[in-house]
Amino acid sequence: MIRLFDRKPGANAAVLAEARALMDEGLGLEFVLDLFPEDAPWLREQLALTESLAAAYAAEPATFFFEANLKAKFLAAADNPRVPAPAAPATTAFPFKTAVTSLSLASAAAAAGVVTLGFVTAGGAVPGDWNYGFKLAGERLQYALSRGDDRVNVQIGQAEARVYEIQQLSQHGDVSTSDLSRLQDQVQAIATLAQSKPLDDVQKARLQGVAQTTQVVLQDTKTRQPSLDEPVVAAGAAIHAAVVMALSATPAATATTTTTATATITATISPSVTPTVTTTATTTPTPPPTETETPAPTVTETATPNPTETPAPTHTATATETAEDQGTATPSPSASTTPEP
Amino acid sequence: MEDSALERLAPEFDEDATVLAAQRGDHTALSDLYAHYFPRVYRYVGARLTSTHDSEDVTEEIFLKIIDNLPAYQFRGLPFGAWVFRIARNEVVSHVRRQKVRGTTSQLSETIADDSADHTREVETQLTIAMVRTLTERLPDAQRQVITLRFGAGLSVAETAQALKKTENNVKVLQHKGIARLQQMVARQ
Repeated sequence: MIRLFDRKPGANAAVLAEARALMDEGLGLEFVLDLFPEDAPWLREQLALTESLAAAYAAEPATFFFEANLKAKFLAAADNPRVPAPAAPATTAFPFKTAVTSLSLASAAAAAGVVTLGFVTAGGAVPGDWNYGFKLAGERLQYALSRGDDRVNVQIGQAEARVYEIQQLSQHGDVSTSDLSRLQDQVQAIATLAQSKPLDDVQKARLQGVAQTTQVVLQDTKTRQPSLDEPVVAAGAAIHAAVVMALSATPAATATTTTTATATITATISPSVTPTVTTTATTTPTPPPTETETPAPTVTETATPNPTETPAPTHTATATETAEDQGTATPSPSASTTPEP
Repeated sequence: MEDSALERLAPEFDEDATVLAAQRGDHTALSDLYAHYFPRVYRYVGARLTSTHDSEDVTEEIFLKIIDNLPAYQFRGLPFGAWVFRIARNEVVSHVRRQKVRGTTSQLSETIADDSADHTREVETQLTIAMVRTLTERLPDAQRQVITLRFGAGLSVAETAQALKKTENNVKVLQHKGIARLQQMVARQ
């Protein structure tokens, strides 16, 4: 019930704002409180707090050095702004919606036309041309759509394009370090691709062609633009290294893996077989191990026919007997000889 | 009558004429603008950031942005002061965001006022500043913005409203709520 007669919360806010504004003007706390006698009890504490806040914030001034230094920068920046000031927005509001719509449609059509023209004419563009961006965009698209071998071919093609561009720019002495680094990146990308899949003969030949042309073009650039001497030499060295890496890449990675694989397989099989054979042979005299081992003793024993048995064949020297006993005669000597010794 | 807090910070000057002259590259006008706004901007930034180093960096960035964008400034219902503090506010907010991403490191203040030999008072001052910052950090963002612009930068209610794109009544209510909440926090401590 009592709250019905309370003032709105905004009223206290207005009183505080008004009182504080008076203090900002330089009036003292007590003077201001006298102007708001009904609100003095709660207002005193809040105004005191605002004073403490302002005093606390003001208690940490900037150093003179910083203030002076920043002022110097501020004035210097006025003469040489960091970024060009944006143009003031056009204030001519076109009154008719239809006109605005047609204008926007016309500009959209013009933009589409410019894009199309840009892509169509971008083939021979060099850095600095209006449509060079379209050329790079087209190349990026081409690269993104390519796979496997084709990707290497695309990269080599683009490297050839970079060399051509530098050649064109070099004739006017317009080569920049970014053009060199673009070519360098391109060749480096080829070298990286070659590490995963070695280049075929045609690709190698093309890359060698790129490398040779590059050396000639860079030499020409160095002559025409002596200021670019260092970057050109550095780019030439880097490109040469990348080309060497790409050309020398062999399927070594796959070969080593296969050989090590087979090596490990044989290594693991052979030791594991022999111990099992020996252990089973010693622990259990059952047929399986003895059967596997029997061929060796029989072979050795038959291979060394003892001279004491030689009389036996001479005993059966008749031709008829040997002819009849063929097939059964061979096992019999071995069978008869084993118990004899 | 005693000089107001703002007049003590910088003498009154014809702001519109000064800004126009500054836009033409007049160094005197630029110096006047700098003298007028530097203490307020620095206090505002200092009220929001704990490290002196950060405050200096952000203040510098604000003034360089002001000079970069000054040629494009137009008197279109937005006073120059409000324009300056919009830049300041945006810069502080983006700095705080970056700091949150990077992780904060607390640094000791390097600028304890050295004109007094009473070091006990210096320490007390630093503690008060630290406490005020800590408490205002706990306020809701809108209230904190109003409190720091009003008492840190010394803007009037009208200027604060323009800088924050709010109505004056809104600013008054936010100020009242913020002060009341700070009062409760101080009482609890």
